Amino acid sequence: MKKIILLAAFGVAGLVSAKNAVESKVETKSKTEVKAEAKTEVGEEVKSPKQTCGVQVTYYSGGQVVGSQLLTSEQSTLEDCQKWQKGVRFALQIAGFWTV
Amino acid sequence: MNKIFFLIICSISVFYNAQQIHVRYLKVLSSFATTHEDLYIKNDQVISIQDSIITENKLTDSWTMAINIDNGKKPTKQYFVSDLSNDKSKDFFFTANVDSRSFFIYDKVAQPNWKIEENQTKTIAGYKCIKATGVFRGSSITAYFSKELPYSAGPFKFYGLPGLILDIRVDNMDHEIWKAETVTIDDKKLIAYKPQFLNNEKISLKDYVEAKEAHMNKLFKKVSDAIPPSSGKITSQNNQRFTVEQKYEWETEADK
Repeated sequence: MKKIILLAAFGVAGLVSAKNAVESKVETKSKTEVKAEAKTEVGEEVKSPKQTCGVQVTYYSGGQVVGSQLLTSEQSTLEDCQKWQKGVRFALQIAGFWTV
Repeated sequence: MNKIFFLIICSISVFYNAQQIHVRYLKVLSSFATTHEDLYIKNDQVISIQDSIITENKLTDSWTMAINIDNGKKPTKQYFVSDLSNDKSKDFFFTANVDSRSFFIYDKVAQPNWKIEENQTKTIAGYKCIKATGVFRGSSITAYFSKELPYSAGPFKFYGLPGLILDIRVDNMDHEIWKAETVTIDDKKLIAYKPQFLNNEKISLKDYVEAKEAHMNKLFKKVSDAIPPSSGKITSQNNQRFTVEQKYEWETEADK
């Protein structure tokens, strides 16, 4: 009877031990995946391409369109683009150009 | 009996010619702005008046800017004066501004070599219109005219079709579009068909184009110099000929 109880105890201990081993393996794998994802994100940020940002200026004289000018610059983000667009509009107003 | 019949015909003819036709066109000035143009016809006289009110599309405010280069002077009406003659080229007189100077310009406009497509029709402002295509000063154009309005005229400097042009636009361009909104057959407004622009400088079309483009080149440079610096590359694409008139006759002759 004692032998049977001892065998049963070893069996349970063995099972528990095996389960832990599986879990730790899974955990290790998931940690590796997260690291890989994080690396990819950092890589994308570094390579972020600049995009064309523009202001279309239309010139009026006596109510007629007499010309147009597309001013563009390369900007990394939408926020930078909007800042530059505002800067262009402000600079032209300061330079004495009247808006219609 | 013949005399009575002749008198009736004469009366109808006089009445018909005395009528004043008024067509109000919506004109698309640029991708972001519209205005109106009013065409009046009476007794073989034609005048088209572009409105001084410009409507800007406010939705494009962040990336578009409309600049008045007349130092703050409000836009004025612009006039295009001609007649109903249907020669191969027609005399036009029109007003325009350059650098706060007002001009009254003489222009001899060649009739486009129109190709009429009788089976292509649509109704505009209640009138059945027929499609016609042609080339006007270097731009391919598509017009719709109505034979129900037997006047060889249209907005701006367009003419040469056997009916009034009610819709005309430059192919593959999102502006330079004229579309009739209303047609009034017996308009009562008093119109001066031969307005005197005594304060305007008289000038030929060629001199006007040269003066305008020289002024625009200076402006483009001034604007390019004024824009704020950026870490990225800055470019400027300039267009002095934003309208239907892309190539003038003297330039076409020089190419030959």
